[in-house]
Amino acid sequence: MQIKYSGLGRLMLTLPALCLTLACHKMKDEPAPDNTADITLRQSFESFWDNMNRNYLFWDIDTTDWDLVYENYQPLFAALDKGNPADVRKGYSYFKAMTAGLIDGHYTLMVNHTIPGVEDAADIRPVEERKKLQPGYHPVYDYGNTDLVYLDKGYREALYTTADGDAYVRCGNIGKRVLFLRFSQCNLKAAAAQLSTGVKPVVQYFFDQLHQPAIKGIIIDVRANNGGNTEDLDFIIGSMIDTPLHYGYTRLKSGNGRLDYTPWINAVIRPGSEHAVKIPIMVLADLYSRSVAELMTMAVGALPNGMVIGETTWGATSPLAPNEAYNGGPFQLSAQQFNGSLFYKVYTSSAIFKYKDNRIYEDSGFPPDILVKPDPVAFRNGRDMQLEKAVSWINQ
Amino acid sequence: MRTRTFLVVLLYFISGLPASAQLSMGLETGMTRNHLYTSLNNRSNTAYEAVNGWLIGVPVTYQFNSWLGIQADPLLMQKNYRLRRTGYYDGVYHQNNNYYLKLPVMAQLCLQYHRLQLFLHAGGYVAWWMAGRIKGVQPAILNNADPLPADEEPDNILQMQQAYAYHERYTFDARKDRRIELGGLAGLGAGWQLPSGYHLFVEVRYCSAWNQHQKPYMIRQPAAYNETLMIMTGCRFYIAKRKRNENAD
Repeated sequence: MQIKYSGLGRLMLTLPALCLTLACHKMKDEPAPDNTADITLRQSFESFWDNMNRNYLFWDIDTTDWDLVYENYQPLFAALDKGNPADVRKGYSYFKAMTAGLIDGHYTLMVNHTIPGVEDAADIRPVEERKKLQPGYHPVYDYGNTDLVYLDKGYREALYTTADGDAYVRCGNIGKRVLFLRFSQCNLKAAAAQLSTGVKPVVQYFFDQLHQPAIKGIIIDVRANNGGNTEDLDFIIGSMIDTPLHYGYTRLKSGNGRLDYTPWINAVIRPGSEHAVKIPIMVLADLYSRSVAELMTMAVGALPNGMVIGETTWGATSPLAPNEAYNGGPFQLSAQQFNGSLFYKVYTSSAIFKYKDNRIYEDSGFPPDILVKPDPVAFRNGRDMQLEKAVSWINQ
Repeated sequence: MRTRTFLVVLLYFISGLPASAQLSMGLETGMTRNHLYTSLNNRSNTAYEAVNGWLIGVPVTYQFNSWLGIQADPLLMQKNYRLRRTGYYDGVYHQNNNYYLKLPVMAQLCLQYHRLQLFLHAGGYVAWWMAGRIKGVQPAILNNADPLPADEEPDNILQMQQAYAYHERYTFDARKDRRIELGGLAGLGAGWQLPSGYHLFVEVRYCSAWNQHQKPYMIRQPAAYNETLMIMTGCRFYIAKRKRNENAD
């Protein structure tokens, strides 16, 4: 009996100790948004680094060592004085250096120009900076006047203004056999819904001509097109197909960890026609075909009768949406944080896109089927060699 | 550190206890309810939810005497959790179903009254991640949903983007996923001794992971731990009985 009580007594003493081996998790809360006003440059960096850690989509393939960035730059920012414009400029150069290798073609770090020291500092766009150094880099060629030389009389055109600036759409025939559509922004569906823009009759002409017997080929020109609304993928490409077109995949964030992703989700353009267009569909693309314009290029490339002519696109193939929608992508500071922060917003993709060939063309750009480099001499003489190639391909 | 503490304490009260020993084993089954304990205060309309699963195991109990024993019950079990969107994003979720082989080892303190037995368990476990599946619904960012009537405004993201549903095998990612989980546990149960010698029991057990479900692969990694509630029932039978004369020594 004595032994039993001794053993039971030991257990009554030690059982609580055993239970204490259960969790009291040493859990560090996710850093809450810093809502203190007038943050320091170090806090500006910390906020930027944390948000990039959680919201940037490309950590799976980007070679930038983000942990090393923290180790290297945190002490540097801690030594900076926000009241000293020279220090603020130094902080700007640190932001530029730490993001120099990022591969997101949309990536833009928007500078707070109210801070003395960076009033004239350009927003930071790493992909653009790298492309400027690559052979073959050229300024934008605006074929807006050049293609008028090739179009038959009676082409339709609309000039209108959007939140992204002036835009235009042009549709007509070339030599009666080729249907040509050119637009400077991918927002045709939304613009067509507003009668005041004049876009509706232009795109309606395009839709009406698609199945005309005289038309032997279609050219869609998205050169120097910065993209816009993904609605235009169904609106334009969908008008030429009668079955869903699978042209790639997207992947979203599934948690706050750098490598937390959803599975790949099929990207599909919905058919909008009872009869598919069977004649050749050419898309003209160049270095400045970006975002939805690139997706449109890739979608045409996925068509059995599609072909891409021109040069490799920009490499901003992944879509964007507000951060709250997909728990990733663009982020910005609150109004309180704005005061004193070197940046106020980061524009970055909300999902990763990969083409149906399972390759990711972010940063590298989507290559053409037929390479036709821009010819500045011909351009100055009013000739569009890429358009001529597309027309000759259709006519042969 | 916690493992060492646990072992030291366990050895302390086991040492020098004479007993009439009984060895039993059996079969148990039940359900699990697992929650991934982490913080999402940087995300709106987003929360982790507990998800039910199942378990099956083989309890092996060595009873030192009528009130003290030690039990190990190797288990095959699920630890599932779900990340769910709410409000405008209602319907969007991502769920992880994880299958573990688990070996809990615990001290058992019993109170016996005739055929009724009440018991407490306290101990630790080691678990090995075997396999996983993911399922969910996501808005396909590039796939537009059917247009709404002109007089309607969308009140859900799945009215704007097509819903993409998936249910597939999860591929272990050695860069971030952790196979081994260690943790502590405590349980409370009751049993009934049948005349035939079989022993029916039911137990509620709580397990808490000591290590995170992901490896530390990044600075400022969000901490995340599995916390699991288990309700199990089963049957044991004695396979060996030994009575030691208390005066023999």
